[in-house]
Amino acid sequence: MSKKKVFDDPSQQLFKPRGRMLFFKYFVLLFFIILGTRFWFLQVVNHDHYVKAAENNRIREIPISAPRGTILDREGRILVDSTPTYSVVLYQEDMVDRESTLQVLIKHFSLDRDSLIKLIEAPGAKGRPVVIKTNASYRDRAWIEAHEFEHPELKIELQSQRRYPLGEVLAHVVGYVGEIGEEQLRDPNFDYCKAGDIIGQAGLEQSYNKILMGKEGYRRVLVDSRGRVLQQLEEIPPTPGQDIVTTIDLDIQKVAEEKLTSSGFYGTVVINDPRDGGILALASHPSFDPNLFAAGIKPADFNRLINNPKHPLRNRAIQDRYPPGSTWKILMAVAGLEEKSVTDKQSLPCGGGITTGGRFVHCYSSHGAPDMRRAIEISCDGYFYREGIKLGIEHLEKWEPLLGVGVKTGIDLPNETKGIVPTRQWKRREYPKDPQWKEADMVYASIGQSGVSTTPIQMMYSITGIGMGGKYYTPHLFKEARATEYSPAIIYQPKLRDAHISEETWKVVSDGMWRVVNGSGTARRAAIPGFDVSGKTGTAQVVGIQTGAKGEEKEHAWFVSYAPRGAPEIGGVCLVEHAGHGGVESAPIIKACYEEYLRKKQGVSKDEVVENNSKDSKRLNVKAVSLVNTPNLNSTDTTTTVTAKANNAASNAVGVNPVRANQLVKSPQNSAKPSLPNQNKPQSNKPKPNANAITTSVSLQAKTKPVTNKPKQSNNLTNEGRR
Amino acid sequence: MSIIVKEIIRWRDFDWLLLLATLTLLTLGTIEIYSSVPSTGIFYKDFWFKQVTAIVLGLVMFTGVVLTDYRRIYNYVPHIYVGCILLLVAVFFFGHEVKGQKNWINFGPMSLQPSELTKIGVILALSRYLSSLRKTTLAWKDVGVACLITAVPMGLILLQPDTGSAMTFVPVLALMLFMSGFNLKIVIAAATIAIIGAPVTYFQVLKPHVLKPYQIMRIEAVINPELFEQPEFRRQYGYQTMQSVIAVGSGGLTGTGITKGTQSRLGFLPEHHTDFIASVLAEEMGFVGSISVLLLYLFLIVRSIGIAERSRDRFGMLVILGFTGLIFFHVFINVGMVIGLLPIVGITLPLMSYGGSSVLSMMILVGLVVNINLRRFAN
Repeated sequence: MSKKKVFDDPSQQLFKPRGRMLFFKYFVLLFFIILGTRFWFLQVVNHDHYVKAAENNRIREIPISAPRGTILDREGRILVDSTPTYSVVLYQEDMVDRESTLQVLIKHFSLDRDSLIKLIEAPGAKGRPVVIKTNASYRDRAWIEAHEFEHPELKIELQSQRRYPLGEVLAHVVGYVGEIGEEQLRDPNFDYCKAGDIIGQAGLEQSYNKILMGKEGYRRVLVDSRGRVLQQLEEIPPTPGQDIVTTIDLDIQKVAEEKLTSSGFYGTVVINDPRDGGILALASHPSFDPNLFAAGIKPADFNRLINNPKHPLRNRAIQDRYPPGSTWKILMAVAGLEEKSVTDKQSLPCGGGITTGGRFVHCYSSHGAPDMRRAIEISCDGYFYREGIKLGIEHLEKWEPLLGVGVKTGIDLPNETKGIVPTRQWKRREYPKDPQWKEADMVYASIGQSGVSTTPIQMMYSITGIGMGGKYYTPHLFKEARATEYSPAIIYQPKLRDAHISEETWKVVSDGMWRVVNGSGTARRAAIPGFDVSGKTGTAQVVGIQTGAKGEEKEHAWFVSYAPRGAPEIGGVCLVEHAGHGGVESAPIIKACYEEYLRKKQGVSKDEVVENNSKDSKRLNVKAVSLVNTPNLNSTDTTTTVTAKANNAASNAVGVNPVRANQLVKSPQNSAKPSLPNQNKPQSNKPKPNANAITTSVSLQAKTKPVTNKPKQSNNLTNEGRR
Repeated sequence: MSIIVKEIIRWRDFDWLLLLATLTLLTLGTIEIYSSVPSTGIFYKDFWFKQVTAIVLGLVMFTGVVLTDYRRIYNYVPHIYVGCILLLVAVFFFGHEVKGQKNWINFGPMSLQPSELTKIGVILALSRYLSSLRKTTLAWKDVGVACLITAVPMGLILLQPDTGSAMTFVPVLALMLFMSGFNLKIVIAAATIAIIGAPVTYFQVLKPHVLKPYQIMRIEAVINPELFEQPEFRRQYGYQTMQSVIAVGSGGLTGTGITKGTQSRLGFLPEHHTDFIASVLAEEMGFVGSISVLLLYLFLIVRSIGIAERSRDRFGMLVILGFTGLIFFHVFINVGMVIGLLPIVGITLPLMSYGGSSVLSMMILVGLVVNINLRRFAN
């Protein structure tokens, strides 16, 4: 057979390539060593890395958004809260075919292609869930759940959306929210945020974003290679943001908004409590609806707001500057008296104006030769021209920052502007051709015109501070952040700065301001019998000096005030643009706010608990009067009642004011100046920053509360002080 | 004649270790198929069961092959070769299509992949042709004929189209030519040119002019595995390689345990029961498992080469060397792909990947090796 032939042929044994086979053996061995080495590196050396990679593969963290804290007014009424809404979210890593996903989104969710592409191609959008549609309807949700298998990249997530129930009311204070911007992401202040986070972009939402925001939770789930959830491993609940109680009193706020709106002009009203700087109301008109921003503002809406010539997004109280007009005279008066360039009894001629720099600058009338009090009362320009010249720019410059102008007040709202005040440096900078500070400059500056441009809140801060005898409390809106399961409460500590205004000065200037309202002054429309409103109007010329101007050319109407005169417990500013006279347009708005404040105060005093307190406080008062230097003689029961009450935000018409109790205690012997004479200062005047915030503030309130419930008494005292 | 054969066989020459290594690999493969493919609930429809069936059938074939003197098989080599070709042609008419490829012919409940059987046919045909030449140095004409023998089935497989399977014939042919006395000078010259020329060509011609960026990345990732971390690269280089590398790496020293491999069970690994079975094994049995498998293959190859050295004739030697070449090429390409050293090509891991035809043909080949060893003193 052929088989035998072949295999018996010796030639079959001829060639046995042993060398080549040996070579092949080593060749195989070499390649297997390569494979084995690679296994060693993958499985032993870099094992941990790949374990993590495998985990990332199959374990996914699905974020659970944290509810943002609510913003409340001082009585616990809701200013801003959140509502749960459903959002359609896209996980791009699970997307198999971008085009088909896009088609689905366009077809079933009526979205437009360009904006979708913009969303999914945003920086960092690849690695995180992208919110494709907010406020998903029931239909949207049903569709996504029904197509979970085909489109695991689309998911429905419950997210909380901001709700601003007040609409335009308080819009500038609460601000609005929006997705974090690219620049903000790079900002180290936002290191606690990540791309896609909704953060506060204006107002309190921005200032206290960190407190309000909370921390996202997540669900750790096991997914398969298409991103379909197989099993939930654990759920880390979100840490909700803290609720913030503000110093706003919604009742007063509403009155302010209503009056301002109904005046028909644009402008701003701010009401504060000079005893701790808490803002009770802040209205700026025109306003906007922050709800527009809540679900991501549409470009058209945003452009409309931005391009509106009236700038509704601007908070006029802190972001816009206006010449303060005659309200500035109060600062001139304080500086003049303090620098002893005039005395209170010293009369300066009005003369119907003054000749300076080769021209005659008018006073609006002719006032003879008033003294300081009278000059304030009648707002005599002529007096202040001369007073300003006597004072000199170098002294004015010194007092400007002390009285809180030309510097930021430090209110806890973003984007405050610091304004412009007359200084020599300003003159050099603004008029390089005429850098020398001249007498004419001083004349204009004296009545708050040329070179003076302040924010409304600065004027309020400045003049209520003067009313407080130089005790400046930084204006603020934050009262406390309520404790949650995860975070302790944060209580605002009033920040005091003392401008050291002498008592004599304070007496003269506050007398003058009292007369503005209650004498023959310019703001008689603001008078409230028994409440001793004191203040100063201003009518700030806008374009040159024109009389009888109309519309846009008309003057800005200012009214800055506080009440009651001896021991201010409320203060405010009203500025109405192009409205005319401050006493006519602005003073009634402030008055309405004060009346609301009083109504509420009396309303509260009807409360039984507080009635008891009043009785106690009388007793306390008697005791306190007899023991001037130990005012903290409260009975235990009063303390507890009031403490309970104080914790209830509803009773908190009066803030923390250690000065207050002492004032009343000693006022029979003394003038009603709210700051204490020197001998009493060490014990009482300066609230010390204290570590134990809660207890201290409660005890302070216990001290102050009974007294503030007795407006009548305080009136008596202040009247006495005036004499 | 058969009397002679019976007289010569000594059963202690039966290479039990070779069979044992083969069965171990088959068992490991079946375990990982069981582990990575979720059960259908009906055991006879499960992949692991089908694999076990194929192994049992394979053992029957193995026994049949061992009991038949390979020198008798020699006579039927042309028939086997032609039969393979006919099957390959039949695939075009009766084959059924999976993922655009016509690889299978259905025989009732079983389906056959002729390209797997063709591997045996081509090895046998080449061995017979090259052993009959009786030369120490091959002439160009001989080389041409050998190439033709390979090219016909290879071309048919390429038409299916199954590039991966077709490719396996090239190293088998090369090795068999080399072992049949292909001019060593030419081999050395070619190797030298390749070793020197490859980097030069790559850096001077291919990289700047020919290759696309993603192809360059693929090549360079072999040297610089950090490229895997770049998302850009992942997209280009392929999701599959990345997932496979993650699976291997997450196995660690001892592995996650059978059925605990998340990469395969949750569907991150593609083709986990066929092309990426080594990845599943590496994940679930760890470094210990993967090295064991490599050693088993190495044993199989080295032991087979030893048998080839001792074989009593060139035909037997060449059959065994063809088999080792096939195994080596398959293992290196497949494992290299699984651990991210080589780009993805559809080449299975012999003896371990799921696939009845592959198991059958491999067991027949192992049977031939054992057969040749058994009859090395036969006359």
